[in-house]
Amino acid sequence: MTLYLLVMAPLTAACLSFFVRTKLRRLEFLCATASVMELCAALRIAFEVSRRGTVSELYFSVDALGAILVMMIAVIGLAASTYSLFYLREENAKGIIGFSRVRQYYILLHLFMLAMFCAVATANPTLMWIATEATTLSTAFLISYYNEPSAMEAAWKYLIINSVGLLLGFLGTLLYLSPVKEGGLVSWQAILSNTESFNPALAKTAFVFVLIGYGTKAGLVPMHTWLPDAHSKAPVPISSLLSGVLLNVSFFAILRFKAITDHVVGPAFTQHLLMFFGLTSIALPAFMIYIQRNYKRLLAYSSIENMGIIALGFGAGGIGAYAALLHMLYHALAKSILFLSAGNIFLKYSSTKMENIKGIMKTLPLTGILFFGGVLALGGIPPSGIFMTKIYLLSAVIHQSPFTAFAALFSFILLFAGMLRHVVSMSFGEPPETLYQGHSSPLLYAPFVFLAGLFIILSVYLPAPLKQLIESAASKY
Amino acid sequence: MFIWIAQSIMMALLSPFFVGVIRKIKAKLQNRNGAGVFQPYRDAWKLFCKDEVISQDASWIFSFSPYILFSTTLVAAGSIPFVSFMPAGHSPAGDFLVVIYLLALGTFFLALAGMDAGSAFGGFGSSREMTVAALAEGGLIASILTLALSAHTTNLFKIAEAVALFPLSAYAPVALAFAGFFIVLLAETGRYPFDNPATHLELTMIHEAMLLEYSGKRLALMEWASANKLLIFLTLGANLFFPWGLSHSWSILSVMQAFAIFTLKILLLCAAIAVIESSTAKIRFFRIPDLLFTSFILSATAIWISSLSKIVPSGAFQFPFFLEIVVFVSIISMHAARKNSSIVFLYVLQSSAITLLLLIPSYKASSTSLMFVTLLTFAVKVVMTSYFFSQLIKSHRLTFSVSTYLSMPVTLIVISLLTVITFSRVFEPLTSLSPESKNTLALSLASIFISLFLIINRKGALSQMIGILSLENGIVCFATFAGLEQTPGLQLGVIFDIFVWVIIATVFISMIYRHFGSLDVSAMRTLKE
Repeated sequence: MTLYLLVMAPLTAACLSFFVRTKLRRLEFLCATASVMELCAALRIAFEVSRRGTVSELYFSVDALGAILVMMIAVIGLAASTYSLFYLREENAKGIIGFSRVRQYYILLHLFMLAMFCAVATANPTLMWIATEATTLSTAFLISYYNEPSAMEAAWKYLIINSVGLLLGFLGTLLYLSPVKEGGLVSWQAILSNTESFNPALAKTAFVFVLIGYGTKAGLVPMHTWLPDAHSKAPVPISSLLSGVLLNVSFFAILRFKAITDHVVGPAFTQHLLMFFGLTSIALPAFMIYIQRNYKRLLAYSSIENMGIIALGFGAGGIGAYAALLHMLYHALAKSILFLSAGNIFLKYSSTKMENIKGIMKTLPLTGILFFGGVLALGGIPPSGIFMTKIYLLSAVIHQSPFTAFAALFSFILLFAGMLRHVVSMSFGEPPETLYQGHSSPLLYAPFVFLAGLFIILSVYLPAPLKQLIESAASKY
Repeated sequence: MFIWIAQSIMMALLSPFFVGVIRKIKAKLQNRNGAGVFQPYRDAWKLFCKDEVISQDASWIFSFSPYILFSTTLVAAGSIPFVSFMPAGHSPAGDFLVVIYLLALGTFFLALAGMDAGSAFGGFGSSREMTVAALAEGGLIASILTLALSAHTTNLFKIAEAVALFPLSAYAPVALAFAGFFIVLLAETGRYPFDNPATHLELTMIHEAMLLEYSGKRLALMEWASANKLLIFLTLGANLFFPWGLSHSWSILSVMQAFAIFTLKILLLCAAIAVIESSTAKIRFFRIPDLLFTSFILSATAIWISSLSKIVPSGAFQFPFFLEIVVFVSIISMHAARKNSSIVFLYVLQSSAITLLLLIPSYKASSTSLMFVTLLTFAVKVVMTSYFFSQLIKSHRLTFSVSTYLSMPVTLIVISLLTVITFSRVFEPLTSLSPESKNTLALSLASIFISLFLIINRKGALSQMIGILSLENGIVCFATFAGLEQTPGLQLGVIFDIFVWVIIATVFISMIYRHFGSLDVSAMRTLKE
């Protein structure tokens, strides 16, 4: 029942928002209610999964990893929705967007959330594909939201590259259905119990298709080319959802197929592929970060790097997978904080160019601290949990391939130095005279405090149910 | 021997008629009445009655070339399958290399004769002719070699006999080879887009430039020889690639019947040539190598495919396979298409084939839900997309697709490589999903990759969009042949995604056009910061 609530809440909110004609307040109320309900449902599901293993209903089935992702989507979704309320109100007040555009934004946001929940909660690979494609479709207009030529270009690139990638993923998905002979809706469980009739060579080919397909959407290098454009052009709450959650949702699909492939051909094949893509995804942003001039692109490249870290962790297996899961969690929180603070900076400075931004610490002290702190945390400065995940990860990788471990470590340092250089020049110094003097609502800070608090708590203390979920997920994938 | 001579004379007597037919059809297409179909005979008669002028500087080559040219065409005309599979007498000339090089010998003397009188026009005509001939030869040899390799003989009569027994499922390489052959036919016989046969007043002429010094009887012979050559090529095209209706004996009735079918096939080819000549412009001389190279690649691909796929003779007509061929050919044609409307037409054709393909299982199972999904597929992929696209093209006047990154020959090389790879062992695990339709699966995979290549190669947003849709069609094709059908509910979900996708992409194309003023995605450079 809770699973249905999870899906029905955004669906109902989207439908109701469609009928709101004049009142901004109603849209905001719907958005807030829906996201709170989603969070409650998600927490309930997570508790149940940690108690019973899996929760399944007709078309849906959530296991440990699914529960973690459902929670992540709900938490980041709540923060992004709350931030959207104030952010859009502010933009509306500035006269950048009109009411119908705001309504369009909320409807698409609800549909986006719906598609993500469906993608992680379905019991069927094809349904997952349909839902993942739906995330692309629902976000396309959100990325081109400001209707500038550059946003249009980013959205077109996003739509085309991801559609091509996902279609290849669709071919791979269909290939995974070949061993199951009985008709009807084929569940993950049915495929797993039929693996002995799965041709190993076919399983390998199918995994390559899936990895390329969903890997495009997860932003793995070299299929990442759309990511910095799309993530930097979308409105910030959407960017935080894209970077913090959607990438993980796509990666989740790869993991599900990895589990099946490992059953057929043993783990070595998928692990090597994941390690390769992980390393390239870590190495490339480390160099690209130096030539960036837009702070949202900076964050987008950092997302690519973090997806690489997660891929590398699952590639290493064992403790690496555990570290990767934790990293997924921390990265989602930290990246959302960073994108949302980028939103505050944008509201204040009205520019996305780093050269125009000086002295955030003076103009926006709280945002500045969170932004700077977020970069430090992502880089793995000790109190942050990311320090621990990176250590675990490297210790797992060094057993498999010392070269990869050292190359990854070198890239971490390079990337951290690059990020820090940009962020220091943005945070300190004298702010320019011409700034937006509008009085920004203190409520704008609520989502940050919520996320930052969560990040700090989870860095030092993992609640028992969550820990159990992570452990059982790490042992399975 | 008697039959051989009779065949040569028959071909020589018929050839001016078909030249007349082509001219007549062209005239009709240009809204003229035109001369009668027997006008070439009258022209020849008139020229035979006239005196001739021979340049003082001309050597014996000039006066002998017409006879050599005419006699080589006569010998070649007697040595090819005409109405029967039986070789005429014990002629050793039934080998395809002999026929090709007999014709090449004629061309050689023609070129020499063009230079002999020492006029500037003749010289450049010969130089161009040799360029074209050298480039066309590869395509010609390769196209007939495709058939020769599948038939395990180089004798033209035996090739025709073997090809007649090919099952339709083995026809893909033959069709490809024919496409290559047809291009060479146009080049060798001096038709559009290589040469203009209707004038000798152009600086760009090839064949007519070499004949410029001739008059009277020798000119008549030259013209007649070129008519013979045209008929020889048409006969080769009709009787080697589509050898249906040739007789197995020399009884009067069967020969008459075979002759009627032969005339019909040649008339069809004449009509095709006339339509091409009326609808295309002559290409620049420097682009000629591109087109001839294209012909060569088509034939080379045909050889590859025929060597990779084992031909199993069986008479049954396989309808699903035929649909797959439609899908495959339409994707390749999209690469060649330059007009947006023709790309859309090809997509609609392809989607209709897919709908038919989906209709077969739903009809067999007589399941209403499957039927409903098929109907919906038709509504989305055929009706809706064609309406949307034609609206887009109309409202933004997007007649021509913007250019490609790679030139046509390179594109074709990539396409043929992709096709060959799907037939190779790399994709063995995928194609062996359903052992009885291995070729079909390989062809569907090739369609998938070629669509992918279309998306990469085209700069136009509309072409990219159609490329993605045809990629999806290829996947549906593959899944159907591999037996990976989904439940109707899931198919419905996928169709819904496609439906929304088409709407979103169409809206985006409109917006891109408004913002950038064109659909050329290489013009989108705002993100290079």
